[in-house]
Amino acid sequence: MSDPELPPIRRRRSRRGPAKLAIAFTPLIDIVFLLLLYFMLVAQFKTKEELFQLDLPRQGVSQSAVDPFALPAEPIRLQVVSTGDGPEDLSIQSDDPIIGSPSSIDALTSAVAAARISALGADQLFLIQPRADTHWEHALAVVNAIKRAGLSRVHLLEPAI
Amino acid sequence: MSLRTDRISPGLSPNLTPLVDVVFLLIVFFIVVAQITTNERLELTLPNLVDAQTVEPTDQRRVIINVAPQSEVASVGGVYLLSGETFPDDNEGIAALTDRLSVIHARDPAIAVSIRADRMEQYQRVHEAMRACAQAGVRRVNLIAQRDETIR
Repeated sequence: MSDPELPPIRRRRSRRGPAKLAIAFTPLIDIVFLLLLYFMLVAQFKTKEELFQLDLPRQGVSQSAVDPFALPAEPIRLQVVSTGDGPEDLSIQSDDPIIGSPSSIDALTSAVAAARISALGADQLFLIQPRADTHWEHALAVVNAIKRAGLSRVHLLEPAI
Repeated sequence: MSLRTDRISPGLSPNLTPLVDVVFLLIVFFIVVAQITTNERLELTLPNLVDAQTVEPTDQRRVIINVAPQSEVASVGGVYLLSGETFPDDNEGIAALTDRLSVIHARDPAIAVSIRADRMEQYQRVHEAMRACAQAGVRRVNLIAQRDETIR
């Protein structure tokens, strides 16, 4: 009974079994690798975008009334003007005699850091007033320079004309 | 004869089905992703700062206001792009943007508003977006910059 039926079963197994296993996996693995590569690239691009958290001044309220717990220290105003398209092509003017008019972003950072040790409180408010045509990068660079110097209270004001 | 057809058929039929399945999935995936990305983010050259004191985006729910560069205003359809809607930078457009932000803020007061602008963008146009946020009652905005470790 069993002897004449054995050969056809063996043939079926040997023909269909290995074909199903070997062929289905190759394109799948190819595409899984592609997907892996794609997600790795996308993940890298995403983490490159980071953010500054900035409090907005309340509308219709004067600057000095924004924070009722602020020290009577005068806010320091910084004017920013773009002189070119490069990241360092800007001029900065402050109304503070210690900080003065730094020649570059790095000079502003060190001037604010020096003033912080000698004269400024930890909650010193900076009001940044770029012009209407100041490049966004330059305005943000000044915000960044003050944060680099260890101070964090920064407001961006209406553009100066 | 029967042996030859047996040898050819397993090579053809099981090979294509998973491939086609996955290709269709990929097509759907890319269509969806492309729609999301065009709705949320414009392609911009973000400000690139030396030793940026930025923080990484959190998992907080957020909306993004994109400020379109002057050269792309025509193709985008407006200056400010907020979750698929565009707004011009005239008074009416900014009023509409403020209204839209008020609605979003009223629905979810904890929502974060991010502003993406090109590095060469005029400050005036970015400030209009910030003013719209302030008028809509948003107290804090996220200003998006690019982090690049290669500079320093």
